[in-house]
Amino acid sequence: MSHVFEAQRAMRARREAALRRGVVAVLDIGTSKIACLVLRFAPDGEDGAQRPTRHGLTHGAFRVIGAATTRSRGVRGGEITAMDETERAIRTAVQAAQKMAGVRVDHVIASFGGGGPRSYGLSGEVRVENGEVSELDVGHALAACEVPDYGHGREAIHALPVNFTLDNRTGLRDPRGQIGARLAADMHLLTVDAATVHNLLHCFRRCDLELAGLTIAPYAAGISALVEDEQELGAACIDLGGGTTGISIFAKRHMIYADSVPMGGHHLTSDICQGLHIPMPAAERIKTLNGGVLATGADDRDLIEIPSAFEGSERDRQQISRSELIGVMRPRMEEILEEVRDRLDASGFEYLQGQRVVLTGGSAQVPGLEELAARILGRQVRVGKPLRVQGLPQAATGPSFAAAVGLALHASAPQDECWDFEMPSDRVGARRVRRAIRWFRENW
Amino acid sequence: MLPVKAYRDPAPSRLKYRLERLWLRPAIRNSVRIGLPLALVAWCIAAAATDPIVRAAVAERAQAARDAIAAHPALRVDRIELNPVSEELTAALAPVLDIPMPISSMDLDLDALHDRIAALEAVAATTVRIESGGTLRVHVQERTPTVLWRHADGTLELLDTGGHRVGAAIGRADWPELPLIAGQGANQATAEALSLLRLAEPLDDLVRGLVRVGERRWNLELTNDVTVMLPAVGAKAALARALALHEADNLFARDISHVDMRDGRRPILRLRPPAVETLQTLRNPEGERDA
Repeated sequence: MSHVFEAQRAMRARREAALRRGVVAVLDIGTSKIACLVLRFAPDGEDGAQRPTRHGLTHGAFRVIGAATTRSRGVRGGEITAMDETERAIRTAVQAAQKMAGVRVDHVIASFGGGGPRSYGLSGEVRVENGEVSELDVGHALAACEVPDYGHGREAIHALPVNFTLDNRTGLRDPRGQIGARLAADMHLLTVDAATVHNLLHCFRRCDLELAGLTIAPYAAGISALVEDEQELGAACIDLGGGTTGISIFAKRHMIYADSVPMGGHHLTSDICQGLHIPMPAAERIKTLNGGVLATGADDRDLIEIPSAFEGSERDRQQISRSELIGVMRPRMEEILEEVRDRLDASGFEYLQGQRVVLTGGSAQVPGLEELAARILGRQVRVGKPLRVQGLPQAATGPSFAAAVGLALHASAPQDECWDFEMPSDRVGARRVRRAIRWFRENW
Repeated sequence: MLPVKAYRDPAPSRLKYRLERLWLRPAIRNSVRIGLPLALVAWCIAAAATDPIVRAAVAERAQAARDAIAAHPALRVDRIELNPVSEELTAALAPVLDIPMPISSMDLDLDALHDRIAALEAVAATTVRIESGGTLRVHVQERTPTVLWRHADGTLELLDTGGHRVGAAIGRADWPELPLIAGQGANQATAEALSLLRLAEPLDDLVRGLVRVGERRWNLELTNDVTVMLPAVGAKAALARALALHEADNLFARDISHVDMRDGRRPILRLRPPAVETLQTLRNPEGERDA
């Protein structure tokens, strides 16, 4: 864990540096598009923004000064499959955003959809040293969490302290300064595939960008698509992306569970492509313009002209009714939602106070999805657009930009993670001393 | 696997991307947008300035322009007017004022001319100016010789009241009206010498001259080899006293060689040897000499 600890800490230091400089880019690497927003943080509270406090900047203290979207290439299922292609796509997006902003960005906070996130709930308990809980005690409690063996090829990406228990009182958000004897901490550890992360890191390095933060897309989407009450009472955010569908569950303003289903809008397109025998771009076009998941009587009479599979032959034009299209799209959407339902059931979502489900992401724009999702998931469902942030272009306010906007919010108000607290010296220091002793022994 | 041979790509190439990012650096951008043109202009100017051909051409042009201006009739000077001065001075001024006429006032260095005229010994002060109508007016205030200074080697020098050298004199006979002084450092006390000589005017022809002794005091030499030794301080009073003695007792006509007025309480006379003898005989009529 220490290795991750150091890496994350370095990333956090870079983020601090970026915030001091005032300009940072957020980059959402999705399967279908790469969105880049350049944020300017207002250090002196201009145009009514708040001043940065000791704990960083608060919401609204930034302004989007550059935004660009490009078609994603070389990404499949939220993971990089062709490094060169992805690098070019990132370059395109970053350059366009930089051009719009008129400033150079060096620091990037990124999110990605894939990597197979896996959540672990950990808890640790320590004796409070001096009666009053200090930051060091919190660090000790977090360090005392028993880290499960999450596998060799995995990397911890988030370790959020979600709950503290002091003696018999639980549900504490911040135990510092309180009096007690035993402090227990609950931590949400999220791991992803290490190879995915390393590929991404390498890709940014090739673009001359410094990574100042890395999150998974469902988390970022949840931050922007859920309103505060939902975050507080408990809600699930389902980010229906191109290649993956991310699930994140929030309660008490913390993400407590995240998962992803490796299916998304691209599967709908490929279904249409196969089912109707039309080329991929045409299928994508028909999906976006005429797609739907709930058929009504009117849809039988609504005819859609589809191009022939054989290009250039003008004579055999085909027409299908909209209900046929819905008939192709609906089973796939049902499959995705059923998969999501299984994941939600497995996570223990039913024990939360709030049971609201928020759909966001590009595929959430399919008409009729709300009813279908409500029927399958059995809960209140709404389609969530991302929070409005200053300076965001109109084109980037749709549900498909939930992750990008969420990243911007995350950058301005980062949540404390395990590595923000001091590790007890017997965990880190001892190893260092041992290493020093060994070095002496080997060299003298 | 993607085709190894790349197709045309809308994405910026890595070079273009890097250049674009470099361009977005304020320092680079400003230096290229402001610094580079400035440097280019500076380089052009420097190259032109160091080119001998360009320099020669520029100098020629400048000279031509200057000449064109200098040739203007309003700037022409075509005569010199000198206030009336002595012949010697006129002769001395002739080479200085030998300026080819007409000349442009821009070519005329008035300061240098002034310095050259003022450097002449016989000139006390001078003003040189150009007046309208093309006149170079030279006003020279001449030093008037008031005293002759004889050196130890016999050469004569003319001095004015302030002790400034006016010129050399060939013989005493050329300046019969001027009084004579001698001795080292005599020129530094000319004013005192003149006042003493004015006081001694009643003696008329008897006065031969004044001798400066030890750069400190004066001796009045008379034609009958009588020396009146005057003190360093209060010389005029001492001389007046000696003159009074002479008027009363015809002192200087007596057989004495020196009248020492340096002791303020009494004048001391130095007799010539025959006079000493006469005095002794007068005091001792009987041959006490034998005793």
